[in-house]
Amino acid sequence: MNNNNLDPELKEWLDELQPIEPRNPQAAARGRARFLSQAVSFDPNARQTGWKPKLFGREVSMNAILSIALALALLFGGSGATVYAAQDALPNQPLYAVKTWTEDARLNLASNPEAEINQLMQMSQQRTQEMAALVDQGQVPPESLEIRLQQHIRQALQTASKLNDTDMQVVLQRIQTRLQTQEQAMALLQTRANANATPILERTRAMLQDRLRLCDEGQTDPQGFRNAIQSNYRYGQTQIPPSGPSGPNGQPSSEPPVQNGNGEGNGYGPGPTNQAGPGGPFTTPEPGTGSPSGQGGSGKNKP
Amino acid sequence: MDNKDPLEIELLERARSFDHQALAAIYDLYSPGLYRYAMRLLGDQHLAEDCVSETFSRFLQALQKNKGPRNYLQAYLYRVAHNHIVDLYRRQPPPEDDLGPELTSTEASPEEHTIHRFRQTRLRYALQKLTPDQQKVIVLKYLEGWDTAEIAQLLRKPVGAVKALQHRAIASLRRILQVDETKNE
Repeated sequence: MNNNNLDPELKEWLDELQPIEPRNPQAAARGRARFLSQAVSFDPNARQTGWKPKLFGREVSMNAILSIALALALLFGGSGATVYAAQDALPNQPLYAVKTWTEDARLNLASNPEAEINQLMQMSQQRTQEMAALVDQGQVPPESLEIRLQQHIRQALQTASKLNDTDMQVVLQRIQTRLQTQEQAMALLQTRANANATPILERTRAMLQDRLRLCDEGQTDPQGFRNAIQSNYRYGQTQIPPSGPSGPNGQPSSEPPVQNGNGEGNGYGPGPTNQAGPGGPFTTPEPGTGSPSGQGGSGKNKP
Repeated sequence: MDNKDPLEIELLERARSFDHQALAAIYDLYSPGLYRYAMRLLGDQHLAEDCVSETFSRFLQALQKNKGPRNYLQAYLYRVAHNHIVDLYRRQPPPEDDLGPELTSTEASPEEHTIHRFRQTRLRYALQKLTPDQQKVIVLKYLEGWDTAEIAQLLRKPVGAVKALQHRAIASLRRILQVDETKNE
């Protein structure tokens, strides 16, 4: 603590606030997952149609994918064979782009909201299975997989929010069942994953738990669910929150914010049990892989 | 005062194009400190987590509108967090005699524990009576260990003005605590 200009009595007073109880790692992980999930939904470039598949580690356009698919079709003796061959592809394999392209094509063919949601939930199931396959190969699932999984679920929930109350409640029940299966699969996966894969699995599981809570609450409060979807999962709000900085130089708004209300207690298991890193709050983790928790103490507490 | 952190500038640049790795790095870099800051002023883990969540949410909203900070990201995030805390107090001021939730359990006896919690609550109450800038100076300088130049960035004031502010903040805090003490006797 910096003691300049402080008399002993005042120092003694301030010392009362010096120790901070360690941050709850589960709450910290949930907060981080929520933030990253919001980042995906706020990203103007991350819409489903704008997603660019990767081939051999490079982003490629849909036209290129179609050309490759055509070439592969000729090679394998028919487009059906190519598509079939692609179905088991993983994100680190060349045919994976064909797989996701066919999924997107199927999604575009969905004739009604229920079919669209069904297709999206199948796609999310696929992403979870791909994570499991990669983990079982001793690899770390790429962040793009996590983002795509979030996008599928987000799109399904958005589509559900446009249905009438009754249909929406039925659909949310179905989504919830699917998400529960995925959340349980993710919990099992965490037990056999290597340490490098743990952060992404924890984030994914926290995200699934958050969406499960949303589905649960949406079945009892359909309008609240719609509001939450419209305001990017900030459940329990009755109005869109102030839009952050409003001053001429990005000065943060001091208008009363709407209470977030999406805290802990979702009722879907204990969640991840990640521990604070040994470096405490002052270490700079590798982007996207760091521990979200930290704890205070004395001394110079700066990032 | 223009000592911009190159890492911060690069992260901000990437965050503006919604680079998820950069956003994750920003969160990992600053959320522990913001949490501590909120905990010291609010004394409640849930409220502190909400404060962190709200701060980063507003940051994303700002980026989405192509607003937000161009530099001094840390200072920006603490300003947002502090505004959230002030708004929270304004909407729902905690009662002065509320002992508040437990912060730490290092005390040897129940009596010491109670005294410690009582003093924490009183200090927090006294801090609320300071101006927002004075609160920031006290907490960031004496509890978080920031130097005056960093606080000057956060407050967008010259270093000299921050030193004067710091002097007034200490005097005010001492006076408030003494007055409270007299009232309680």
